[in-house]
Amino acid sequence: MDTATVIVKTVAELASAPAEYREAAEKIVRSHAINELYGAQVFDEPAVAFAPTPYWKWLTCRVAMEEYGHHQRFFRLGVKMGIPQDAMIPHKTDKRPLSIFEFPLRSWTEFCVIKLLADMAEIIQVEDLMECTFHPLRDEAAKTMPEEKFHAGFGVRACTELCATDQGRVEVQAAIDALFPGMPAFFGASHSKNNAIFRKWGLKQRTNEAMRADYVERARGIVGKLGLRLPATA
Amino acid sequence: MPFDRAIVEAYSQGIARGRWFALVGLPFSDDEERALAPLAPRIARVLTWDEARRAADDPHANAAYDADTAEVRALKERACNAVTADALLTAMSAVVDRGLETFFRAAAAAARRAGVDDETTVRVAAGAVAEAVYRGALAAAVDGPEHRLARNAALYETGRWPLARIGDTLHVF
Repeated sequence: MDTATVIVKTVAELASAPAEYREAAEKIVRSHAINELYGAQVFDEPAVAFAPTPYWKWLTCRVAMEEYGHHQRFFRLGVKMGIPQDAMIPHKTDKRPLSIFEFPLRSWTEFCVIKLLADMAEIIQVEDLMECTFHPLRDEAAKTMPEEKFHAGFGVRACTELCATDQGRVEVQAAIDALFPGMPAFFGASHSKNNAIFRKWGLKQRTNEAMRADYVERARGIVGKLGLRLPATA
Repeated sequence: MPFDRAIVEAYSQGIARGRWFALVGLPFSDDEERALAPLAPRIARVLTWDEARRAADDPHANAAYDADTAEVRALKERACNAVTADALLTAMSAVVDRGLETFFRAAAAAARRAGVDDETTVRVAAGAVAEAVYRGALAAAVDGPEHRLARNAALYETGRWPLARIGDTLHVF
Protein backbone atom coordinates (compact mmCIF):
# COMPACT_ATOMS: atom_id res chain seq x y z
CA MET A 1 0.00 0.00 0.00
CA ASP A 2 1.31 3.47 -0.92
CA THR A 3 1.68 5.42 2.29
CA ALA A 4 0.49 8.60 0.57
CA THR A 5 -2.92 7.10 -0.11
CA VAL A 6 -3.67 5.74 3.36
CA ILE A 7 -6.61 7.51 4.94
CA VAL A 8 -8.49 5.71 7.66
CA LYS A 9 -11.96 7.18 8.09
CA THR A 10 -13.31 4.90 10.80
CA VAL A 11 -12.03 2.70 13.59
CA ALA A 12 -13.40 -0.30 11.71
CA GLU A 13 -11.22 0.57 8.69
CA LEU A 14 -8.15 0.56 10.91
CA ALA A 15 -8.20 -3.25 10.89
CA SER A 16 -7.26 -3.27 7.21
CA ALA A 17 -4.52 -0.64 7.54
CA PRO A 18 -0.87 -1.78 7.54
CA ALA A 19 0.42 -3.07 10.87
CA GLU A 20 2.93 -0.24 11.16
CA TYR A 21 0.12 2.31 10.70
CA ARG A 22 -2.05 0.64 13.34
CA GLU A 23 0.80 0.46 15.81
CA ALA A 24 1.70 4.10 15.25
CA ALA A 25 -1.90 5.25 15.69
CA GLU A 26 -2.15 3.25 18.91
CA LYS A 27 1.01 4.87 20.26
CA ILE A 28 -0.38 8.36 19.71
CA VAL A 29 -3.78 7.56 21.23
CA ARG A 30 -2.18 5.89 24.26
CA SER A 31 0.14 8.82 24.78
CA HIS A 32 -2.69 11.35 24.73
CA ALA A 33 -4.91 9.25 27.02
CA ILE A 34 -2.13 8.82 29.57
CA ASN A 35 -0.84 12.37 29.53
CA GLU A 36 -4.22 14.14 29.59
CA LEU A 37 -5.16 12.20 32.71
CA TYR A 38 -1.79 12.50 34.39
CA GLY A 39 -1.63 16.24 33.74
CA ALA A 40 -5.05 16.69 35.37
CA GLN A 41 -3.92 14.62 38.35
CA VAL A 42 -0.56 16.28 39.02
CA PHE A 43 -1.27 19.87 37.97
CA ASP A 44 -4.95 20.80 37.64
CA GLU A 45 -6.48 18.99 40.61
CA PRO A 46 -3.82 20.07 43.13
CA ALA A 47 -4.00 23.64 41.79
CA VAL A 48 -7.54 24.03 43.14
CA ALA A 49 -6.03 24.24 46.64
CA PHE A 50 -3.60 26.98 45.52
CA ALA A 51 -6.23 29.12 43.79
CA PRO A 52 -6.78 32.44 45.62
CA THR A 53 -10.59 32.57 45.83
CA PRO A 54 -13.62 30.34 45.13
CA TYR A 55 -13.93 32.02 41.70
CA TRP A 56 -10.49 30.77 40.65
CA LYS A 57 -10.94 27.47 42.47
CA TRP A 58 -14.12 26.74 40.51
CA LEU A 59 -12.52 27.79 37.26
CA THR A 60 -9.56 25.52 37.98
CA CYS A 61 -11.93 22.72 38.92
CA ARG A 62 -13.64 23.09 35.55
CA VAL A 63 -10.32 23.11 33.73
CA ALA A 64 -9.35 19.90 35.56
CA MET A 65 -12.65 18.34 34.49
CA GLU A 66 -12.05 19.35 30.88
CA GLU A 67 -8.56 17.82 30.90
CA TYR A 68 -10.09 14.67 32.37
CA GLY A 69 -12.72 14.84 29.62
CA HIS A 70 -9.92 14.93 27.04
CA HIS A 71 -8.48 11.78 28.58
CA GLN A 72 -11.91 10.20 28.32
CA ARG A 73 -12.13 11.06 24.62
CA PHE A 74 -8.80 9.43 23.78
CA PHE A 75 -9.46 6.56 26.19
CA ARG A 76 -12.80 5.71 24.55
CA LEU A 77 -11.21 5.89 21.12
CA GLY A 78 -8.44 3.60 22.34
CA VAL A 79 -10.94 1.09 23.68
CA LYS A 80 -12.66 1.03 20.28
CA MET A 81 -9.26 0.42 18.69
CA GLY A 82 -8.70 -2.56 20.97
CA ILE A 83 -6.05 -0.99 23.20
CA PRO A 84 -6.20 -2.60 26.67
CA GLN A 85 -7.69 -0.14 29.17
CA ASP A 86 -4.80 -0.38 31.62
CA ALA A 87 -2.40 0.59 28.84
CA MET A 88 -4.02 4.05 28.85
CA ILE A 89 -4.00 4.70 32.61
CA PRO A 90 -0.92 6.23 34.28
CA HIS A 91 0.78 3.83 36.69
CA LYS A 92 -1.23 0.89 35.38
CA THR A 93 0.96 0.88 32.30
CA ASP A 94 4.74 0.77 32.02
CA LYS A 95 4.62 3.73 29.62
CA ARG A 96 5.77 6.77 31.55
CA PRO A 97 3.95 10.10 31.36
CA LEU A 98 5.83 13.02 29.81
CA SER A 99 8.74 14.35 31.83
CA ILE A 100 7.16 17.82 32.14
CA PHE A 101 4.76 16.33 34.68
CA GLU A 102 7.70 15.76 37.03
CA PHE A 103 7.74 19.51 37.64
CA PRO A 104 6.81 19.92 41.32
CA LEU A 105 3.82 22.26 41.50
CA ARG A 106 4.23 24.54 44.53
CA SER A 107 2.12 27.63 43.96
CA TRP A 108 -0.76 29.27 42.15
CA THR A 109 1.71 31.32 40.12
CA GLU A 110 3.43 28.17 38.89
CA PHE A 111 0.09 26.70 37.88
CA CYS A 112 -0.79 29.83 35.89
CA VAL A 113 2.56 29.62 34.10
CA ILE A 114 1.93 25.93 33.37
CA LYS A 115 -1.34 26.91 31.71
CA LEU A 116 0.46 29.68 29.82
CA LEU A 117 3.35 27.58 28.55
CA ALA A 118 2.43 23.88 28.77
CA ASP A 119 -1.04 24.25 27.31
CA MET A 120 0.44 26.15 24.37
CA ALA A 121 2.67 23.14 23.74
CA GLU A 122 -0.42 20.96 23.82
CA ILE A 123 -2.12 23.22 21.29
CA ILE A 124 0.80 22.78 18.87
CA GLN A 125 0.55 19.00 19.19
CA VAL A 126 -3.20 19.06 18.67
CA GLU A 127 -2.91 21.40 15.67
CA ASP A 128 -0.67 18.80 14.06
CA LEU A 129 -3.19 16.02 14.71
CA MET A 130 -5.95 18.01 13.04
CA GLU A 131 -4.51 16.97 9.69
CA CYS A 132 -4.06 13.36 10.77
CA THR A 133 -4.90 10.61 8.24
CA PHE A 134 -6.57 8.58 10.98
CA HIS A 135 -9.81 10.53 11.01
CA PRO A 136 -11.24 9.30 14.33
CA LEU A 137 -8.10 10.64 16.01
CA ARG A 138 -8.23 13.85 13.96
CA ASP A 139 -11.86 14.34 15.01
CA GLU A 140 -11.20 13.82 18.72
CA ALA A 141 -8.26 16.22 18.53
CA ALA A 142 -10.47 18.84 16.90
CA LYS A 143 -13.05 18.49 19.67
CA THR A 144 -10.46 19.17 22.36
CA MET A 145 -9.02 22.23 20.61
CA PRO A 146 -11.50 24.91 21.81
CA GLU A 147 -10.94 23.85 25.41
CA GLU A 148 -7.17 23.68 24.98
CA LYS A 149 -7.25 27.21 23.62
CA PHE A 150 -9.34 28.33 26.56
CA HIS A 151 -6.87 26.75 29.00
CA ALA A 152 -3.93 28.54 27.40
CA GLY A 153 -5.98 31.77 27.42
CA PHE A 154 -6.66 31.18 31.09
CA GLY A 155 -2.88 31.12 31.58
CA VAL A 156 -2.48 34.39 29.72
CA ARG A 157 -5.24 36.09 31.68
CA ALA A 158 -4.11 34.80 35.07
CA CYS A 159 -0.46 35.68 34.42
CA THR A 160 -1.46 39.13 33.17
CA GLU A 161 -3.34 39.73 36.44
CA LEU A 162 -0.41 38.45 38.47
CA CYS A 163 1.99 40.72 36.58
CA ALA A 164 -0.02 43.77 37.62
CA THR A 165 2.19 44.02 40.72
CA ASP A 166 5.99 44.10 40.96
CA GLN A 167 5.99 41.12 43.31
CA GLY A 168 3.70 39.22 40.95
CA ARG A 169 5.97 39.91 37.98
CA VAL A 170 8.96 38.61 39.90
CA GLU A 171 7.08 35.44 40.81
CA VAL A 172 5.81 34.83 37.28
CA GLN A 173 9.33 35.30 35.88
CA ALA A 174 10.69 32.87 38.50
CA ALA A 175 8.06 30.31 37.55
CA ILE A 176 8.90 30.72 33.84
CA ASP A 177 12.59 30.26 34.64
CA ALA A 178 11.83 27.10 36.60
CA LEU A 179 9.33 25.53 34.18
CA PHE A 180 10.53 26.48 30.73
CA PRO A 181 13.80 24.51 30.58
CA GLY A 182 11.75 21.30 30.75
CA MET A 183 9.29 22.33 28.07
CA PRO A 184 11.22 21.62 24.84
CA ALA A 185 11.42 17.92 25.83
CA PHE A 186 7.61 17.87 25.60
CA PHE A 187 8.00 17.48 21.83
CA GLY A 188 10.13 14.35 21.99
CA ALA A 189 13.63 13.58 20.81
CA SER A 190 15.20 15.08 17.72
CA HIS A 191 15.57 12.62 14.81
CA SER A 192 12.91 10.46 16.49
CA LYS A 193 12.19 7.14 14.80
CA ASN A 194 8.63 7.20 16.08
CA ASN A 195 8.06 10.65 14.66
CA ALA A 196 9.47 9.53 11.30
CA ILE A 197 6.94 6.69 11.20
CA PHE A 198 4.10 9.01 12.25
CA ARG A 199 5.00 11.35 9.38
CA LYS A 200 5.49 8.53 6.92
CA TRP A 201 1.82 7.61 7.40
CA GLY A 202 0.49 11.14 7.72
CA LEU A 203 -0.49 10.61 11.35
CA LYS A 204 1.63 13.63 12.17
CA GLN A 205 2.79 16.36 9.83
CA ARG A 206 5.82 17.97 11.41
CA THR A 207 9.08 16.81 12.92
CA ASN A 208 9.60 17.11 16.65
CA GLU A 209 12.30 19.66 15.90
CA ALA A 210 9.95 21.82 13.84
CA MET A 211 7.23 21.76 16.46
CA ARG A 212 9.74 22.55 19.17
CA ALA A 213 11.12 25.52 17.23
CA ASP A 214 7.59 26.79 16.58
CA TYR A 215 6.82 26.40 20.27
CA VAL A 216 9.86 28.33 21.44
CA GLU A 217 9.00 31.22 19.14
CA ARG A 218 5.37 31.31 20.25
CA ALA A 219 6.40 31.05 23.90
CA ARG A 220 8.88 33.89 23.43
CA GLY A 221 6.11 36.01 21.93
CA ILE A 222 3.55 35.38 24.66
CA VAL A 223 6.06 35.86 27.47
CA GLY A 224 7.31 39.03 25.79
CA LYS A 225 3.78 40.45 25.80
CA LEU A 226 3.84 40.10 29.58
CA GLY A 227 7.02 42.15 29.62
CA LEU A 228 9.00 39.08 30.70
CA ARG A 229 11.58 36.84 29.02
CA LEU A 230 12.34 33.21 28.47
CA PRO A 231 15.39 31.89 30.33
CA ALA A 232 18.71 31.77 28.53
CA THR A 233 18.34 28.04 27.80
CA ALA A 234 15.85 29.02 25.07
CA MET B 1 -23.68 4.26 56.85
CA PRO B 2 -19.99 4.23 55.86
CA PHE B 3 -20.46 4.65 52.11
CA ASP B 4 -23.67 4.01 50.18
CA ARG B 5 -22.81 3.70 46.49
CA ALA B 6 -26.50 3.68 45.56
CA ILE B 7 -26.79 7.27 46.81
CA VAL B 8 -23.89 8.36 44.62
CA GLU B 9 -25.50 6.60 41.67
CA ALA B 10 -28.79 8.41 42.40
CA TYR B 11 -26.98 11.76 42.37
CA SER B 12 -25.35 10.81 39.09
CA GLN B 13 -28.68 9.82 37.54
CA GLY B 14 -30.33 12.97 38.88
CA ILE B 15 -27.97 15.29 37.04
CA ALA B 16 -30.04 15.09 33.86
CA ARG B 17 -33.16 16.19 35.77
CA GLY B 18 -31.68 19.10 37.75
CA ARG B 19 -32.77 22.70 37.12
CA TRP B 20 -29.19 23.95 37.21
CA PHE B 21 -29.02 27.77 37.25
CA ALA B 22 -32.69 28.08 36.22
CA LEU B 23 -33.53 30.54 39.01
CA VAL B 24 -30.38 32.67 39.23
CA GLY B 25 -31.21 36.35 39.52
CA LEU B 26 -34.89 35.75 40.32
CA PRO B 27 -36.57 36.63 43.64
CA PHE B 28 -36.80 33.86 46.24
CA SER B 29 -40.15 32.13 46.58
CA ASP B 30 -41.64 31.63 50.05
CA ASP B 31 -40.59 27.98 49.95
CA GLU B 32 -37.04 28.99 49.11
CA GLU B 33 -36.96 31.55 51.92
CA ARG B 34 -37.96 28.77 54.32
CA ALA B 35 -35.36 26.37 52.90
CA LEU B 36 -32.58 28.96 53.04
CA ALA B 37 -33.27 30.21 56.57
CA PRO B 38 -31.51 27.34 58.43
CA LEU B 39 -28.39 27.61 56.27
CA ALA B 40 -27.06 30.90 57.60
CA PRO B 41 -28.13 33.71 59.96
CA ARG B 42 -28.38 36.05 56.98
CA ILE B 43 -29.13 35.38 53.32
CA ALA B 44 -28.12 37.93 50.69
CA ARG B 45 -29.69 37.63 47.27
CA VAL B 46 -27.26 38.22 44.43
CA LEU B 47 -28.96 39.85 41.47
CA THR B 48 -26.55 39.78 38.53
CA TRP B 49 -23.72 37.71 37.05
CA ASP B 50 -21.30 40.57 37.72
CA GLU B 51 -22.30 40.58 41.36
CA ALA B 52 -21.94 36.81 41.42
CA ARG B 53 -18.39 37.05 40.11
CA ARG B 54 -17.49 39.62 42.75
CA ALA B 55 -18.91 37.50 45.58
CA ALA B 56 -17.10 34.38 44.38
CA ASP B 57 -13.86 36.33 43.98
CA ASP B 58 -13.96 37.74 47.51
CA PRO B 59 -11.07 36.37 49.58
CA HIS B 60 -13.31 36.58 52.66
CA ALA B 61 -15.19 33.62 51.18
CA ASN B 62 -12.12 31.40 51.57
CA ALA B 63 -12.68 30.46 55.21
CA ALA B 64 -16.01 28.75 54.51
CA TYR B 65 -14.67 27.20 51.32
CA ASP B 66 -11.65 25.81 53.16
CA ALA B 67 -13.86 24.43 55.91
CA ASP B 68 -15.89 22.57 53.28
CA THR B 69 -12.71 21.24 51.69
CA ALA B 70 -11.53 19.93 55.06
CA GLU B 71 -14.91 18.29 55.53
CA VAL B 72 -14.59 16.59 52.13
CA ARG B 73 -11.23 15.16 53.19
CA ALA B 74 -12.80 13.80 56.37
CA LEU B 75 -15.71 12.31 54.45
CA LYS B 76 -13.32 10.58 52.05
CA GLU B 77 -11.43 9.09 54.96
CA ARG B 78 -14.68 7.75 56.38
CA ALA B 79 -15.68 6.38 52.99
CA CYS B 80 -12.33 4.61 52.68
CA ASN B 81 -13.12 2.67 55.84
CA ALA B 82 -15.82 0.96 53.80
CA VAL B 83 -14.45 0.79 50.27
CA THR B 84 -11.04 0.92 48.65
CA ALA B 85 -9.71 4.23 47.37
CA ASP B 86 -9.99 2.87 43.83
CA ALA B 87 -13.63 1.90 44.34
CA LEU B 88 -14.39 5.34 45.79
CA LEU B 89 -12.70 7.02 42.84
CA THR B 90 -14.66 4.90 40.39
CA ALA B 91 -17.99 5.62 42.09
CA MET B 92 -17.35 9.36 42.34
CA SER B 93 -15.97 9.62 38.80
CA ALA B 94 -19.42 8.69 37.52
CA VAL B 95 -20.71 11.98 38.96
CA VAL B 96 -17.95 13.92 37.22
CA ASP B 97 -18.57 12.15 33.91
CA ARG B 98 -22.31 12.69 34.01
CA GLY B 99 -22.01 16.40 34.77
CA LEU B 100 -19.24 17.30 32.35
CA GLU B 101 -21.43 18.45 29.46
CA THR B 102 -24.71 19.01 31.31
CA PHE B 103 -23.39 21.57 33.76
CA PHE B 104 -21.55 23.54 31.11
CA ARG B 105 -24.63 23.69 28.89
CA ALA B 106 -26.86 24.73 31.78
CA ALA B 107 -24.47 27.47 32.89
CA ALA B 108 -24.03 28.71 29.33
CA ALA B 109 -27.82 28.82 28.79
CA ALA B 110 -28.41 30.75 32.01
CA ALA B 111 -25.66 33.24 31.21
CA ARG B 112 -27.01 33.67 27.69
CA ARG B 113 -30.51 34.41 29.06
CA ALA B 114 -28.97 37.24 31.05
CA GLY B 115 -27.06 38.53 28.04
CA VAL B 116 -23.73 37.35 29.43
CA ASP B 117 -21.35 36.03 26.80
CA ASP B 118 -18.26 35.18 28.79
CA GLU B 119 -16.64 31.75 28.55
CA THR B 120 -14.78 32.22 31.81
CA THR B 121 -17.87 33.01 33.85
CA VAL B 122 -19.68 30.05 32.34
CA ARG B 123 -16.78 27.77 33.27
CA VAL B 124 -16.66 29.15 36.82
CA ALA B 125 -20.36 28.34 37.20
CA ALA B 126 -19.93 24.89 35.66
CA GLY B 127 -16.99 24.20 37.96
CA ALA B 128 -18.95 25.35 40.99
CA VAL B 129 -21.93 23.11 40.37
CA ALA B 130 -19.74 20.12 39.51
CA GLU B 131 -17.80 20.49 42.72
CA ALA B 132 -20.98 20.99 44.77
CA VAL B 133 -22.74 17.94 43.36
CA TYR B 134 -19.62 15.80 43.82
CA ARG B 135 -19.35 16.93 47.42
CA GLY B 136 -23.07 16.56 48.01
CA ALA B 137 -23.08 13.01 46.68
CA LEU B 138 -20.11 12.09 48.84
CA ALA B 139 -21.62 13.68 51.95
CA ALA B 140 -24.99 12.05 51.44
CA ALA B 141 -23.40 8.65 50.78
CA VAL B 142 -21.28 8.86 53.93
CA ASP B 143 -23.37 10.90 56.35
CA GLY B 144 -26.90 11.15 54.97
CA PRO B 145 -28.98 13.75 53.14
CA GLU B 146 -29.01 16.30 55.98
CA HIS B 147 -25.28 16.93 55.74
CA ARG B 148 -24.60 20.60 54.91
CA LEU B 149 -22.80 19.69 51.67
CA ALA B 150 -25.80 17.64 50.55
CA ARG B 151 -28.11 20.57 51.32
CA ASN B 152 -25.81 22.87 49.42
CA ALA B 153 -25.96 20.57 46.38
CA ALA B 154 -29.74 20.54 46.66
CA LEU B 155 -29.78 24.34 46.30
CA TYR B 156 -27.95 24.04 43.01
CA GLU B 157 -30.35 21.33 41.87
CA THR B 158 -33.34 23.64 42.39
CA GLY B 159 -31.74 26.28 40.17
CA ARG B 160 -29.78 28.45 42.60
CA TRP B 161 -26.09 29.18 42.94
CA PRO B 162 -24.94 29.45 46.57
CA LEU B 163 -21.84 31.54 45.95
CA ALA B 164 -20.12 32.31 49.16
CA ARG B 165 -20.52 32.37 52.87
CA ILE B 166 -18.88 35.48 54.24
CA GLY B 167 -19.17 35.93 57.98
CA ASP B 168 -22.73 35.14 58.92
CA THR B 169 -24.08 35.81 55.43
CA LEU B 170 -24.70 33.30 52.68
CA HIS B 171 -24.71 34.95 49.25
CA VAL B 172 -27.10 33.18 46.90
CA PHE B 173 -27.59 33.94 43.20
